[in-house]
Amino acid sequence: MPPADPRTAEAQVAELRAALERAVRQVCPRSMSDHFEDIVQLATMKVLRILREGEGNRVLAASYLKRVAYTVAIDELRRRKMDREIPMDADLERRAVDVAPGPDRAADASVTQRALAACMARLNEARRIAVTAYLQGHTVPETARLSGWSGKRTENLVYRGLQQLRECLRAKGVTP
Amino acid sequence: MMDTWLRSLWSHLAGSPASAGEPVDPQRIWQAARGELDPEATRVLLERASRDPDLAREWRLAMAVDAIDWAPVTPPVGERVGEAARAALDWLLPEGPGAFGLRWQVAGVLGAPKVRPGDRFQVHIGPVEDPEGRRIVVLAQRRTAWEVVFPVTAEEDLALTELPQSADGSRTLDLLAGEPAGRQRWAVVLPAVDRSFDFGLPPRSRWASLAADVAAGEVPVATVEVVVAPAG
Repeated sequence: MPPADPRTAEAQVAELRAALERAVRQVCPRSMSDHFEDIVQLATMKVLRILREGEGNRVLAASYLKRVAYTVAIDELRRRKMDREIPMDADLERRAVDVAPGPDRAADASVTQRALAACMARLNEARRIAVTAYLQGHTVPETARLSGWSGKRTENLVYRGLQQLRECLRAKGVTP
Repeated sequence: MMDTWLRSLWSHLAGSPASAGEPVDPQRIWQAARGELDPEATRVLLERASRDPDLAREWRLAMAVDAIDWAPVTPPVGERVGEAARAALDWLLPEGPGAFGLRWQVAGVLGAPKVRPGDRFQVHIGPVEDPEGRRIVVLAQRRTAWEVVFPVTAEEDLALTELPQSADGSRTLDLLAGEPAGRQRWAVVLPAVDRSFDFGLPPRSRWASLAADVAAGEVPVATVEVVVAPAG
């Protein structure tokens, strides 16, 4: 059994809540920003309920509580997305504005993102998988571990895939 | 630098109804992002994430949550659960339907869909069990947290039975709409009438024990969403 953290449970719940805020803020669509606080609250509350039910019987692994908080947050994001009155295409347009500044920034961003999706679709499956993991934020060694490929093969797939992606975007007139 | 740009572009892709398939079980995404699925299943999910921005976003959330540096927790025991809520969470309202009915309308105007800043509106509470044993605390959700808007002073402190009663047994409370325009969330909490609050304390301390009991689901609470139109 892992040792309990010397910090108080109160301090830990507060820390988890603050960290959840940062995590959810990274991915919460702007169209759901008015529900951001609720999502974090519900996830934190679920963890608190588990702590309450635990009543000191056992040490709860942080990974378990984080998984609970994650699934609650996802359930809420999905439920609130379904409840949205506006179509998600409008959300895409709004978010696209942030990507490509300029007089026609909304239209440019939309074109840029369509180009990215099209260029991703042109990669062969292995490169697409490796590049997706990389763009998600995984390192090459992590991508190798997730995919079961060797480190060398993964590095090659990521390198070649990114190169092809850049060339494809450049051909479509999309540059940084 | 180029990769930073690509990653930024990628992270801003948003889902659309057309791209959405059957949602993936969040537990499965969690396992995949942590490398706990077999590689073949992980590759299938990554391939889907390449064309499903919603899945990609949920995967990134798993990575962000998993990256939280958090040690194993020994659950607080007994009263300390309430202390945990009090110390860490401020107001944490329960999910799902409230413990009693709560609806709103513009004062005196049946069926009015919206209220404007500065307008009075009415909240209808209940009916509830044991109304004689309840007092009223009203919260409004500000940008980042819930805040008690009533009572603010000891003189305002009000028992539920002091409110006008409708034929259906509900009680009517008059409130004032404020900025900003949009959907505003309000909550009514009904603590026991014999519970005392020290109005000499700062608000956080004054309401701490009630907030803890609300978080623990031990005090009836209900929320309502009020649509506030722009002024003018």
